[in-house]
Amino acid sequence: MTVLILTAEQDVTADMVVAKLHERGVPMVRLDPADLPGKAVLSADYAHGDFDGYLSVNGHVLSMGGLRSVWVRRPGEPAAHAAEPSAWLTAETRQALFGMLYSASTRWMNHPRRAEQARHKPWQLRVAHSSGFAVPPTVITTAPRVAQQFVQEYGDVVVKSASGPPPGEPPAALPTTLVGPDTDFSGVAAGPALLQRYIPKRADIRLTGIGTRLFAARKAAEPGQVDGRFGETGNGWEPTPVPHRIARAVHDYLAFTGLAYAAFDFAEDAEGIWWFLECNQGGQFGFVELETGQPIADEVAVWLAQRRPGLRIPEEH
Amino acid sequence: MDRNQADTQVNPKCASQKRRDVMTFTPMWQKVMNSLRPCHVWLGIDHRATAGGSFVRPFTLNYAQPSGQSAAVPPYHFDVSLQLNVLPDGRPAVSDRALLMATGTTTSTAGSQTHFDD
Repeated sequence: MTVLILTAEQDVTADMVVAKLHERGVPMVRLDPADLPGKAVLSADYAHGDFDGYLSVNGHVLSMGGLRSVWVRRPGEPAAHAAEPSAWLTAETRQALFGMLYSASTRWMNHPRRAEQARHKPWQLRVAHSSGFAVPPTVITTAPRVAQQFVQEYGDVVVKSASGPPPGEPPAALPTTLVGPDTDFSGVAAGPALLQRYIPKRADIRLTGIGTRLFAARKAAEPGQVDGRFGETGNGWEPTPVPHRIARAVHDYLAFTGLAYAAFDFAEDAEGIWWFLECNQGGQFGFVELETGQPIADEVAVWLAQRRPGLRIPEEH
Repeated sequence: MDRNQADTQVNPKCASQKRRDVMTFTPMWQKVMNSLRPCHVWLGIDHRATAGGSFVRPFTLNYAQPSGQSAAVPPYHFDVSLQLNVLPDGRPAVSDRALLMATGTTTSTAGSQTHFDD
């Protein structure tokens, strides 16, 4: 039984898991959908009332009948590396690859349908609230007057992107940034703006959930620091216990969303409350493991190597 | 926006906490870039919309800035047999913790250009 990892070749975070699978002697195939067709080859057939399919890349072959699990890490767009790429070729290749994979009986981390829905930040906030997290008041709007009123009501407000930075060259970043009451909000009419009450924080929390296993790390923040991803403070990530209430909320969130893997971001305020900021269904974990020593890659490998859903008791680290 | 709905999202314990005075600011990069050229020009994209006959830039893009991510070639390459990246001496790149920390390829902002899960 073989693990399939869908990711780009340069993804060294995936390497951390590949190394663990090698240590455990678990067969695996690594495929970047961008290499299909071309470097990679697939074939699926429905004949005599039965289904089967095969994938091969770099001399490694995978049968759908022997598929143990699929890890959707950082895959490229199907056919992106083709000699003559096109939107049509991408669509055709996506049909072939994912149509075949969906036909197999396997476990997903994370299933693309679940992942697609889980990426939507407004939905994340709704699920987070239902799961029992503290969620800062938030608005996403294309009405400048609503944005203005929100800032007037809550005072200290940050703006953040819902989908990430815009693509293009040179690469851009969109750090979470404070906006003041005198800001010109006319641009809100030209694109949805996500505004959220600023949480003065004493630390950033990154919690990685893999199945029922939770790993939390904490990094002290500097006074007035807004986005923990940007700006060097000299503070590092350290392991931190998961409060029981948070663990229960995380398990509820994962159960509702159907995610096998997720990376949660929280802001810890002066009273020690963890405010839910977002949940990245494919969030990075390598930087946390490298700094804290938490065995996250090994836990991902363990999950992928299982032959059926685990019945393990929830644990926190 | 339903304000009552927003208020229900606040943990009661937190709702009563005093708000701190926080300095608001116009990012330095924004001051500099605004004095030079519009955001959509240096980003190489045009996300403007028409409002009353004039172009308006989406609000959130006012806070975009160059990522500063380096396009440097990492000192490892993909090994098709091992199915992971290796150093010039053949060791897996993941065995060199200091290198991974230095290249920043495992951080929460890595890969954000093509994948918005960070």
